[in-house]
Amino acid sequence: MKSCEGARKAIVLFFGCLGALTISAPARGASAALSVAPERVEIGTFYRGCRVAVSAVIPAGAEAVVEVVGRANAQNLLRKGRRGGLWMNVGETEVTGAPSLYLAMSTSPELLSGSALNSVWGYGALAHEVRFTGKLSDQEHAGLLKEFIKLKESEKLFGVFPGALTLSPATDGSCVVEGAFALPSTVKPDTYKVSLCVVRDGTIVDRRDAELIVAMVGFPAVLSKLAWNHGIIYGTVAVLIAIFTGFVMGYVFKKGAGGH
Amino acid sequence: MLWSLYLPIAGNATNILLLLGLGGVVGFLSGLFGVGGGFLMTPLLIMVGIPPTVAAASDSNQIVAASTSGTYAHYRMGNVDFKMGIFLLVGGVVGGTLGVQLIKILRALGNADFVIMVTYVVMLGVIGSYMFMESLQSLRHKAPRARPAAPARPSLYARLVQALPWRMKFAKSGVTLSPLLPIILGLFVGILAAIMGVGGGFIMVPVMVYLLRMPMHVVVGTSLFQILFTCINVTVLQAMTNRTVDMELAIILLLGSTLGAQFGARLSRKLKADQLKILLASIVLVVMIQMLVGLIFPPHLMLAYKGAH
Repeated sequence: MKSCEGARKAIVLFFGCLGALTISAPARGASAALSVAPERVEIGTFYRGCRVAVSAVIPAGAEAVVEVVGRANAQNLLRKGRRGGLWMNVGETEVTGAPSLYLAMSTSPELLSGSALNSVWGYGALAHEVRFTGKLSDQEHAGLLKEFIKLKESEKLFGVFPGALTLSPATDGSCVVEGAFALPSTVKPDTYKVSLCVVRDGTIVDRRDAELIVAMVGFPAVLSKLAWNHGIIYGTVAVLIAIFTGFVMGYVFKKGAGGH
Repeated sequence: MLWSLYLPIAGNATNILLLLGLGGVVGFLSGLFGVGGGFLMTPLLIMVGIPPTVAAASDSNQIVAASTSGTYAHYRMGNVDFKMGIFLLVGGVVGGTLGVQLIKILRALGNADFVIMVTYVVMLGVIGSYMFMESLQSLRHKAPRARPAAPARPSLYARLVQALPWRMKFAKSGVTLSPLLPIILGLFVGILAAIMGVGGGFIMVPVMVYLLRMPMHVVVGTSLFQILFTCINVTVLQAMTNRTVDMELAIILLLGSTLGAQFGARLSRKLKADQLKILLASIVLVVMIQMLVGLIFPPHLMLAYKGAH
């Protein structure tokens, strides 16, 4: 009897799981419509940054926010301050929890600047994640976040663009949300997360994620691998090329100089 | 940006023509004055978006090419005192090692950056002003004049130099002195160069002119010879330990700098020693003023990546 009951439970569980999968599959298909083009960016010899387009279909009347976020990594920074009337480096600080890339765009400007949700996205959200360690007071901590954002913005690795996404009506009564962001030339090879949040009446009603792959290819990839894996060979080759070029240039000029 | 090129170690794209131009200008100054040009090139590279650590290391790599080209050009003109250069180099290597240790101690005490900045400004200010004033006086008194009567008693420095043992003749430089003197002076320049994070050419040139009494044209060639070896050492060490040498960046810079160094070396032969000195002094003073402005006025960014100057 016991074994029969067990078999019955197993069959119910199996069909239950199957049912759940078949029900959730179309739902995931509909909600996975966050398109990123191109999905893979290659850093080759002539890479100088590129534009990446994002688009999705969202319900009519809804608003959207798109974020592009890089992996968080620790960084050591130097703090500048005034000593004896002169501006100089006055200490070090370690930053943790800060993404390597953070770009955010929204349909309605309020979503990234004035709404109650501004701590969910944008620099308001970063304030919850980023931590500075070192000899710092609370006041200095708050000031450092502002300065850290300024530093990253100067490299175009951080950016918040309220109202940069456009909404246009689709044929089925829903809306198409579109936008594009500039991937800077300083971006590191990695996999970046692109997220879309659908907002209605101040509440997040849907969230969709996609990946953006940035890979180094060709000559830069070969050179980078050599530098990281065989430092001594790389350094020696660099010196030999420099000496050879110096001599060749000297020799060419000697010939051209006509015994000058 | 048609001429844009991605630099894999710097992790940024930049304009090839801009880098060639920078290399050319700094190489020209290198060939003209016998300085490596690191004190000019590194800040310029940082300004065009190269990370500071990569800028400094790649600059050392390109200086190898510029100084090879410059040394070769000066060697053909008979302007390199190899014997003097080797003694200075020995002192420089020992001094550089001591300087690195000194910086480590100062960093642990927490006042390394203050010492570096003040050393930089004071050294540039003193050297630049002295060279400028001395050269200006010489240029003003171009007309032949009666040599002043020899002082009754030689200066303390002259007496110290005379007292040093193992005196030998340095034929190319036309001086007779103890090899201990270039070794000791090289040691001090090496310490200062390590503290300031530069090759030390702009300190070495005045040291050779005023303390070793070498003729200006031999000073330029000999300084370049010494810089060549210092920068080979730095490039290999940086590539091995910090992975901050961007070969692509260095190759573009060195194409410009080796070309510039040839023109610089030619012009250095046409210019008089005092003209060369006053030009170098002016550049040193401009860099000093620029640094002083950076120290007095608040910076645009209050945070910087570790490794910045």
